[in-house]
Amino acid sequence: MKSVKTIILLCIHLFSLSQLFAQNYTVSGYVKDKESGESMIGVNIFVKEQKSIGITSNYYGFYSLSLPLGKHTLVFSYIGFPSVEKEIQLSNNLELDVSMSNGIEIKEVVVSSKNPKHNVESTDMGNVEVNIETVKKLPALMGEVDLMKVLQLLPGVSSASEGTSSLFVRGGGPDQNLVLLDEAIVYNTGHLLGFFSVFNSDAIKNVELIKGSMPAEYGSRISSVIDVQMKEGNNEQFVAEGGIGIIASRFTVQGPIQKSKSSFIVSTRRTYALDIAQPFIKSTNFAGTNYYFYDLNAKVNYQFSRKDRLYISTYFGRDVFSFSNNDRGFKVKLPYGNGTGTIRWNHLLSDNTFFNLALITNNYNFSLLGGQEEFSFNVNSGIRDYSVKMDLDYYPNPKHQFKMGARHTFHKFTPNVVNASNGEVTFQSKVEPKFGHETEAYLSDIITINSGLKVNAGLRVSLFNHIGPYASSITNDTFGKNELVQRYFYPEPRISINKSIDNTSSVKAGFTLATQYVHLVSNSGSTLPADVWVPSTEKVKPQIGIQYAIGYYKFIKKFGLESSVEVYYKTMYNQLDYRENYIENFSTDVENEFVSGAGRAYGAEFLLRRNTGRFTGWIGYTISKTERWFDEIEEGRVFPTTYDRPHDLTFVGMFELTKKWDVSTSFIYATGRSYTPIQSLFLINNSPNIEYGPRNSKRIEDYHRADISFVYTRNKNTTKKFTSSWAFSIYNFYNHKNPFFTYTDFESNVLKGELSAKEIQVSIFTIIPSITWNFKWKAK
Amino acid sequence: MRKLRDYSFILILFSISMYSCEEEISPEDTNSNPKFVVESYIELGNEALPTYALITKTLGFYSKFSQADLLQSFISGASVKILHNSDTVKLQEVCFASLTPDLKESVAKVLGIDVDSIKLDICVYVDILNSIKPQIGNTYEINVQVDQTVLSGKTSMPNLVPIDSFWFEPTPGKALDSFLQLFCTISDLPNEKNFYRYFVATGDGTFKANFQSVTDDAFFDGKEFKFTLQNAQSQDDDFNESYGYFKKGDTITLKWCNLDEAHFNFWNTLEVSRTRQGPFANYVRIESNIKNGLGIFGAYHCKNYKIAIPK
Repeated sequence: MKSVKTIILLCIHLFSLSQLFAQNYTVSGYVKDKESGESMIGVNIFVKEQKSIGITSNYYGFYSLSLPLGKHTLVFSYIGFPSVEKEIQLSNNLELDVSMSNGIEIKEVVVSSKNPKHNVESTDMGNVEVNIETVKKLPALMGEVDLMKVLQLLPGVSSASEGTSSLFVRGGGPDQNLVLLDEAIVYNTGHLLGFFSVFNSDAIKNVELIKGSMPAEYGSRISSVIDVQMKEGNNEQFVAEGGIGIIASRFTVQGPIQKSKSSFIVSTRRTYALDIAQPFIKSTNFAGTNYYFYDLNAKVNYQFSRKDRLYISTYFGRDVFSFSNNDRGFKVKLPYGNGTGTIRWNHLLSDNTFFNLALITNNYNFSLLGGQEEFSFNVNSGIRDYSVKMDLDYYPNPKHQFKMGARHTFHKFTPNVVNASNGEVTFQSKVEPKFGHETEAYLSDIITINSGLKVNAGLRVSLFNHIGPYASSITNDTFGKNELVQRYFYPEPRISINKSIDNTSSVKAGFTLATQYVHLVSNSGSTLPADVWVPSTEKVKPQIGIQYAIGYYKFIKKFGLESSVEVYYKTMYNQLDYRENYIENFSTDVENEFVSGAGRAYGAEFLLRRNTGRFTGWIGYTISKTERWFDEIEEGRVFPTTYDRPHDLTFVGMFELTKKWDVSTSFIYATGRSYTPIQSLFLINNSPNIEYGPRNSKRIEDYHRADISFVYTRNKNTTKKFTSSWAFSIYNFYNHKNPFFTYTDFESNVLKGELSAKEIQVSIFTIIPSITWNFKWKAK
Repeated sequence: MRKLRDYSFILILFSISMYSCEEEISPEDTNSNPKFVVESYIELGNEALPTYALITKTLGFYSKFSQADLLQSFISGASVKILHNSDTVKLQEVCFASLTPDLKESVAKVLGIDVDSIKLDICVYVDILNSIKPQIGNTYEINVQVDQTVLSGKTSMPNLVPIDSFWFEPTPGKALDSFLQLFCTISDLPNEKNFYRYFVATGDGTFKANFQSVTDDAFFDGKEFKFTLQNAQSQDDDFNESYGYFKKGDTITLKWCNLDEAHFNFWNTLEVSRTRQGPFANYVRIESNIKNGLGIFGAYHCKNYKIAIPK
């Protein structure tokens, strides 16, 4: 381990510019929440006498500032918490850990946890951090709090269709979002066909969405990053909390293992809507039919010393659907879900050098098992990754903040492999798993050129090796185990610039090039559990995304309002879709069914947000266009994607009515999604059939909906051990019938001269009230 | 396997049924330039039908169609030719109104329809003289001229993979007293792609294809394969407990056919297109082998089996 440390330090010194500056000393430490002992991410730390010198705490609450000899006042600021000021006399390097307290148990509602002027001052573009307390306050479909649906309320983000938690960011596809849970990739974020996300809000500490300039430390996807961090567990006292809703319940327990040194958290959630119906189902022909999903999050951490800390976290979730038709002796079971595991070791190499080593595994599995008498079948697909990752934050002086790191991932892609047997005869599909090694490295520097100009410049390089076994359908060559089939290498430059106009406003510009070597192509309007991830191969080229963005940011101090306008233009190459006339066929390699094309997305996003006070919330508006084209689909005609929303307006408001009552509301108005219309009917075998028109050439009617929720908290600002609250939520409270899908219904006897054709529009989510009881118990 | 989407659909239906509501909508008419549709088959077998073709044109999406609308969609006066190498056979147009009752019944049988159900004076193009003698491996072309439009298509006559044996077993699960399940085995030909379609006629009735009537041999290439055959049921028929089973005491005719890949793709996409409904379903375009139009020109190599269902 010592040699690793030596190499790393050597690397740092190669890049170090610290020698160019006068004698500086380092003040460094961790920022924690006093009540829970949780590390605080994104705390703004600046020097009171010279506000341009500042930094934010990293994902582990660590900060480091190099300052000249002498007296300084450090200010620690975080929305919802009173600022903490620390006077320091620097004559040596100083270790300074800070605990911040908001003084009350239930935190003030915040929509962004960072400094109110963070957006104006940082080089981040298109970044939104969402505090989980905000997510819990907002109205929720069937009472199930869902952070992915809250992200959908932000400008530039849309969903596939109503009620689903899939995300489409700035015109990117559903596979183009890097969804991380404690650094492990989550490949399928949805339960119940995507209607609920896999993230249990009780186990989540923080969520960050990056839709604009992706910093160099992120890669593997071309559209966005959704970085979710699990809570560490309260290391000061035992806490149990949970909730009982109409379709699911949650329970979380956390506490210290060794006070202030180590802690744990275990959180679980399970649905029971069909469990309740079991007594009725049991008396029918469908006895044995059920559906439920569950999640389990667990995490422990241990602080060996001030320099070393270990985190172990895991997530496991499953959807299980069973269907039985006893009269016909037919049964089918459909379990699927994700699992992740992360072991991280934080180590302070020096007072200004933070090192993190992570071992990560994650998988997504889908199975379908069924049979009738002698006939049985099973379908299995999935993806499994093993990764090792290291990151290093180096703060040589106030003008530079280096980040560097590397990640290597071994991927195993299992396509839909079918095994079936009928008596003594067995069948197996000929499709084989695929394997790949993905290696990435990055280096970036946030450079403060002067008090009005900051640059975040970075370079990421990525290498992907598709390895055997593989049989080429182009050259007919066969490749053995671990034999290199195809190699791709791309440099990925990233840059964003912040130019301050004055103390409260700035202009930013950014450029991002990103590549993506794993792909998910769905043949439906949304992603489905059976959709498979595939690697880049000789046939499937890596996706490349290039985004240009420019924005204006203004903090209106008088009203505490954060405002921004961002304009972006994105081009996407090697985009994938299924060929025309494609029908699922588990017997052939799905990569033979793809066609390759390109896409572009452009638009402007407007955001006005208030983060503090009794009334908080935001108004967002997006005007945008998202298009794709493929030579082999309608001869290259440019068509809008199904998630193209030219106009998208959202309003979110949260208001503290009284000390016991909070009210929240949200409103959405969006252009109707595009669809492929019926062009005509034609007769075959004297029955009507549909000829479809050009892809996505019509739109359903515009979408709009308003939700409202009231939360009654009995002992809100209290030190009592037990507190509880009731959340009353009404989804779509003015009962607008938004179309969800349409179907056609024919009645025909053509030769008798009878034919009627109806197109029926179905609205699924009309007014839906729900109620949830939440509770929290703490040891002291 | 493709029913996976349907099971998912059942699942969400249960969850949301109490909230959903339906409304009929009127899509705008986009059929301003109707296309011509060919439906023509060339058949080889022990009870092969003569080659015939129906030429229609596309209809706009209206809520209700009059007899006149439907009648207008059948094209009369077209020139329909079947070509093989240098041989050309012109199909003769036969319109129902001009036929004697006996001839009408014969033509109806060719079309697989009940003569009593015909109210429209439709016209069919038929190889009345049985001049076309289909042979395995031959490729046939169709050439249709309607007004100034020329439509064409190609198909080839495949090998027949006959059924080796049939037998009946009690229905699975809770056995039904009056019905049996039909099993059969085939020996798929190795090292070639084989495509299958079957039809069932009960008593003297007409042949019906099940709503999923085609399969390829991807999962049993070159193997002896045992499977069940479903009694034909159209998508519009109600699903009841005896769906797919055969009534004891009935006599059926099973028409078992092989077809080429383009012909299989047409029926496969058509049948999936008809079932592809629901919130997560994507549309499927029906794959046609007709140039300048829609529809199918397909060869069938069939064998008809008369089977008595045990009492």
